[in-house]
Amino acid sequence: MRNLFALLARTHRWLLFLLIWGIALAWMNTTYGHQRTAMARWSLRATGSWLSAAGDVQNWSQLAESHRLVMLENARLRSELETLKDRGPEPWKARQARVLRAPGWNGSPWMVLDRGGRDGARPGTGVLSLGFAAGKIVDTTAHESMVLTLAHPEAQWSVRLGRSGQAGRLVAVPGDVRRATVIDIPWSQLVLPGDTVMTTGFDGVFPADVPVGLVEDVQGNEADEFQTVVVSLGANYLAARQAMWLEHKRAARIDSLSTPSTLAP
Amino acid sequence: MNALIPFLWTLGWATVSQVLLFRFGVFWGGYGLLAVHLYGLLKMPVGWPPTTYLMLAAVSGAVMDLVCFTGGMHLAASVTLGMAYPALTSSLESREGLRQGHVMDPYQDGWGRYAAFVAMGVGLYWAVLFGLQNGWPLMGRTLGQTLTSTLLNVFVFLLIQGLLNRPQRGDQRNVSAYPWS
Repeated sequence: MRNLFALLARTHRWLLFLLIWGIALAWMNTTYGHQRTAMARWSLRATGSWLSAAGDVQNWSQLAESHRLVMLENARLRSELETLKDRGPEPWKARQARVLRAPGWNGSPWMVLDRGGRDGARPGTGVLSLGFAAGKIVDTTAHESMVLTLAHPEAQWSVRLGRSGQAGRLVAVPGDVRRATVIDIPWSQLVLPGDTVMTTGFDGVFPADVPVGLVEDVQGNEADEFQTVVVSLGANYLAARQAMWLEHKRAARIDSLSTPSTLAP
Repeated sequence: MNALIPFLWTLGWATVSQVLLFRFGVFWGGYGLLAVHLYGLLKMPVGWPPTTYLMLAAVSGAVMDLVCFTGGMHLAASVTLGMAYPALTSSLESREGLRQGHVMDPYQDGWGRYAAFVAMGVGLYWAVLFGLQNGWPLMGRTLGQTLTSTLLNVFVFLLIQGLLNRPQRGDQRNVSAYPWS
């Protein structure tokens, strides 16, 4: 208390100055409409600024939850978008799932989703991540699915360059989950970095024209007949937290036609 | 106490003349205003406690607001001047320093030094008053009014000093407090 009194005694002139200034401003506030309006405007601005800052802090504390909700909303919107792309009698249906294991960790090229056979997932179904082709389901449990990704070194995928370019085979670059190469593209096909690589739909896993990635580089000797196209995969496996799988009734019928028993002479 | 009575006398007639006469002196479309009561306020002697300057200036400003219906503007400007008064006097003191009870006077401190003292005090006063009156959007007008009104008041104060405050023969005010100077 003694220190408080000492502080007040030391600063009493400034306190008196501020007090008289406050009296003067209050006096003006009751006298002049202009000053009253200016003071009200200043007060509103200060209050709004403070509330905005407090809101920012609150938003920051809820950022993780907001991020999760936004990702869920994005996944749902992508599902709707894929559904809207094909308005035919039997459109592709997309359903969302959460990524439990992503390729890239421990050198594994596999992805695991939190939806399984009881949720409708079945082997052979195509999986999209961030709107790009990511792989296909090869095995399921009741509540999980194992996905063979585009980064698997033993898998091959049918793709084309752009919507009307040459079709080729997409194979993974061993040890790299961000890139793949497209082979069997003749030199007559003009390929430039930045071109989009899309699915052909021939393998029955994905519908046609689903984006796979962007051309990053073109390699090969012009003495050869074919060029090798390095593709930056759009399915960012390391960042993906949500995925969706596509299903089409016709795919099951085609698969049943392709079974060895049917093809037996 | 000896210094207080002349100061109050000067402040009194300056305030009365300001209220009755000089407050109607508005020149150049509002860019030239007179504040003769500051002539009295700037006669506060050196060496008083700073809080005394503050309170005297506040009372003077409040009286001006009451009789002129200016609603706190003179109070805010006066109290700012009272707060800055010790700094103003010390910034313009001569090489010999200021003795206790010294009143700024052109015949002792020099016309230039006194004009600078008046310009700083009156300028501060007008800056606060016009700033409150015009607000931030009219800052240019505030600066213009402050400049022109300060120049006008400096001229008037120097005129008053020359006409009414001439030193009389045998006046001992020129004697320094220091015997060696």
